[in-house]
Amino acid sequence: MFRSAKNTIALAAAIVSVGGLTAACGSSSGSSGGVVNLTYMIWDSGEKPAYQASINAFEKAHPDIHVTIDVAAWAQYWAKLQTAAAGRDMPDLFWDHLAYLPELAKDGIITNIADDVKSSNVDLSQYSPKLLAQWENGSTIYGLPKDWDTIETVYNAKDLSAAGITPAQLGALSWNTTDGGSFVQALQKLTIDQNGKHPNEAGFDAKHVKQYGIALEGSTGQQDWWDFGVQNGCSLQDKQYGKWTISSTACVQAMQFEQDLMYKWHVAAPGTVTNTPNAASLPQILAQNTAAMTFDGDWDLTTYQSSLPTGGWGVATLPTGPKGSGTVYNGLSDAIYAGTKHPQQAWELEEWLGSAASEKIVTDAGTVWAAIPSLDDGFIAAWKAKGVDVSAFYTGAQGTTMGFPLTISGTAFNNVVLKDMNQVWLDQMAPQAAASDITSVSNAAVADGS
Amino acid sequence: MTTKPIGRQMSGTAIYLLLGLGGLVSIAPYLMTLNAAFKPQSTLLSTQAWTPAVPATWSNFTQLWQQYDMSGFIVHTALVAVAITVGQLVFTTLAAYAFARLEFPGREPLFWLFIAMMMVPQIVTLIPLFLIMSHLNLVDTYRALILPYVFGTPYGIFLVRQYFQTIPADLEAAARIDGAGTWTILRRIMIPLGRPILATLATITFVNTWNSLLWPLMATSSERDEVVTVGISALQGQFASQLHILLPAAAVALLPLIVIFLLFQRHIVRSIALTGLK
Repeated sequence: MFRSAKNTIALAAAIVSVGGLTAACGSSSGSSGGVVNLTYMIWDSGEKPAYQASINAFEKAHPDIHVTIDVAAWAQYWAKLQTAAAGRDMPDLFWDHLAYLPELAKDGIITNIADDVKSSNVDLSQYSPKLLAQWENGSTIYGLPKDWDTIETVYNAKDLSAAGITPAQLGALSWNTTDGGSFVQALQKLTIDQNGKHPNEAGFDAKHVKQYGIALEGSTGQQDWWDFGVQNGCSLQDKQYGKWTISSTACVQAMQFEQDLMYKWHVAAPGTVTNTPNAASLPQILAQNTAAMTFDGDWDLTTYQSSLPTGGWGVATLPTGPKGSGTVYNGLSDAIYAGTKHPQQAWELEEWLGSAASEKIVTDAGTVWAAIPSLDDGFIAAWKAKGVDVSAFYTGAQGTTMGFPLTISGTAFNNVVLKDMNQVWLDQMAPQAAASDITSVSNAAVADGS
Repeated sequence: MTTKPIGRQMSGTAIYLLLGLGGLVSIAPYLMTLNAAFKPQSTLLSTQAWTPAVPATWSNFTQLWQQYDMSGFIVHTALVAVAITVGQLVFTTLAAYAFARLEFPGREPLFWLFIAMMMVPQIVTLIPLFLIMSHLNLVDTYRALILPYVFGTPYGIFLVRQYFQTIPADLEAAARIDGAGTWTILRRIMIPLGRPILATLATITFVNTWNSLLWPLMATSSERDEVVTVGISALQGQFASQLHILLPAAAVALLPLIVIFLLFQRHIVRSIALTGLK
């Protein structure tokens, strides 16, 4: 009797303490003392300082709004966002990528800002039309363009001068599918085996290469075969949100050319060196002199700057292909959570982040190129001050470009393209077979989703 | 006659060589992390991970503290880890004792039902847990980090219950004859005798909490409650990882765990020997 009574008391005490714990927790909320708290989620801690500076300016002008920047690395960013979406408790604003935009829009998670744009008289003509078009679909617009990136050649200056090639010559190279063109000839000069021989010399040892001419690495194709593709007239899709057309001749030739660089010409690092996700990063490959040059996006500029000596690296335009020059052109925007408790304040932040004043802060810091073309000189100037001429990225953006594919089958495409292309770069799958598989799997996902 | 000891000696040497090799493989990543943490940013990517950091530099560590709230991360993590560890020790002891010794109807089914929770992968409960926290308005608070784990885990309760069952029931019966109640028995017999297993539980809980990434990542979104794993993971960008900050951060985050292990090492080894669990 006595014992069980004691147990009951203990149990009751436990319940009360649990109740107390939870009851004490009901107070946190989005606003306190008239100040609205907004959360802004981004995935690059390297870009945070510039965005914090922009946010500070915003808070000064809006003392009734407080913004917290939440950084979650790309590797966890989308998982966190999807969990938050399932819990209907998302950050008020967050960086959006074209690979995810269609699915977010379809699920009704992000806000169509078309009405706000109209009522606030936002001047859409200030943005690069190509960027703006990516975020528009019919009468909807899912975010103001905040930046852009292109892919260009990044080279090791020492290796280049050792091979007797000038940066200007590097930018003027061209390739073709028959003899490789001047691009392959230059890469042959830059590729050296352990006995100092080049791939076009007798006795070259392809198994013991000390320095490859080029290293190409990209999980989707953005930094490698898509660029060859746009230079060869390849389109990944028949239209935005349309069917995949990767098995076309122009696209397969682009893949074949990259595979040939590795296994026919022996001038590019093979898949064992560059296959994602486990390969060394491109700046690392360049810094360790595994390869003399690479194709990379401007988002990596800071890493090159910190891991190679000043003047030890530079940027040149991509080679020209059978159908001319071209690069992949992509950009981000800020999405507003459709369920935000503070839609008005969230829009004010969106409007600020997309304004020339905010984009100028971020661009002048050399963090990312602005989506407003008139500001882009600021980015070039910021990097000039650091001793690097990055204008090749700008040149690329002005020429022929290929946008990031827009599709509701993004997840299926990302999975199959990584799996198959890794096989291609290991020389274990023919480009045509990979292209057919990627096309059929991705198109099946398009058909399922619509 | 003489060949046997030599053979035995040789197999002994071989075993030690093998164990030494295994040890080296296990510890190598940590040593490389520590080594790379002292490399200047300019040589971090251009040298191999095992190239010695000469000249060594503290600049990565100073940058870590200047640019990132490393002390904050560690304080937040310690707070959460201590709260969960203390909570688990208290509640697990009570639950394990109840399941091991107290007689009440439905004890066995309840116990096995509880243990069955071990089969549910954590990832499956992630979204429901987030929903609960979201409805309670607890997202981005310490309570969201602490509440789900503070009342013990099936694993911990199983561990301690098995140990309690090995303590002779006669001891308890003798105490009862001397007039001791349940609380006295728990306080003066079970807890002192259960010290090795409780130390093990404390270590496992502390280490797991310190290392846990997924839940804190989902449950928090501001720096005021950001824990060390989340802080470190944020340093990995989509493309450009800030390795020169990330590696010293990982090295610093490891230190408290090493201290904990050294403090409780004796208990951990003993409890593994006693329960056959690990």
